[in-house]
Amino acid sequence: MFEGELEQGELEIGQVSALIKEVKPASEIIKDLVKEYEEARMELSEDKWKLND
Amino acid sequence: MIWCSPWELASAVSNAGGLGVIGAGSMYPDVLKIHVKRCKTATSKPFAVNLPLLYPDLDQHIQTVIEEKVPIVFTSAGSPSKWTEILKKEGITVVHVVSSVKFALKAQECGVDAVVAEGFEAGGHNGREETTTLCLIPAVKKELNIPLIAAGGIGTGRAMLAAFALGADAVQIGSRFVASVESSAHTKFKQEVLKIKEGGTKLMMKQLAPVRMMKNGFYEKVQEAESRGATIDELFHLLGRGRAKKVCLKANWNKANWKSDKCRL
Repeated sequence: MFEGELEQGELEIGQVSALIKEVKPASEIIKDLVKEYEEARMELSEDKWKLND
Repeated sequence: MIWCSPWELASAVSNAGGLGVIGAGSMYPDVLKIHVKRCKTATSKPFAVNLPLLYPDLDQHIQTVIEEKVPIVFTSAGSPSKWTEILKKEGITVVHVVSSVKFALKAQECGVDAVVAEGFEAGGHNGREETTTLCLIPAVKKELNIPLIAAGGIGTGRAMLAAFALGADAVQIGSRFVASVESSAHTKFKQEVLKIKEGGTKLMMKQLAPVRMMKNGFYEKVQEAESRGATIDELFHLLGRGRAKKVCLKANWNKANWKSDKCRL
């Protein structure tokens, strides 16, 4: 991971790696996370998600 | 976050409003000291150090976090019974990483301040129970009385929201930051991470110490060994070679420790 040996090194990474599309500065990653989180939170507050009236 | 989380990443995360964690498992004792000192100058916010409890020179790492007054320590890969009290006496907040309800409760008994419960999706060392984050978090939440941090499969804002819906008080994000500018993973590895598709990682070496890894040449060797029924000794040898030669700084992890029940990885 450190030396860049991609074939014979043990490269530890999680399943969520399939969703990573860009190398970014940590501050931007956090901004993106917060933005998506807030958007998703708003979506869930829509009336269509109400199960009981 | 072994190999990937230097002071540059930890301080950047803390400065951006998260809690940055220095991964000490891949650092020599004097290297950790430098990273902690630099992190302190790079951020005025709290940051943490992750100490895998099977680390060969753990005493020296413990001494560093105490001397340097690191505010928070995440312990993993071992039993928190011995070290929690020692760290807490020094005023350090202790968080222990587990992958089951059973070990979450043990950690709570040991007096830790919070627990990270990490599901099957996570990279690196993983639980034998293979419980997914979706099932693990509500189960731990039901039993645990201290703060619960969810991990495993969380790399998006949507997953963060889902974790809170499951009962988590906070989330821990690893893999996403491997592909950050500040991560110390090799540039080639970062580029490789971007190419990983669905199914591109697998949990291997369940006999020895389950670990989720990217599918590559090393993975194929492990798979070949496992499918012909290789012994634990053979797997250990393979793992040792893969890590020592190509990835890891230090291959002198005590073999007995890997097999010990106490030292669950």
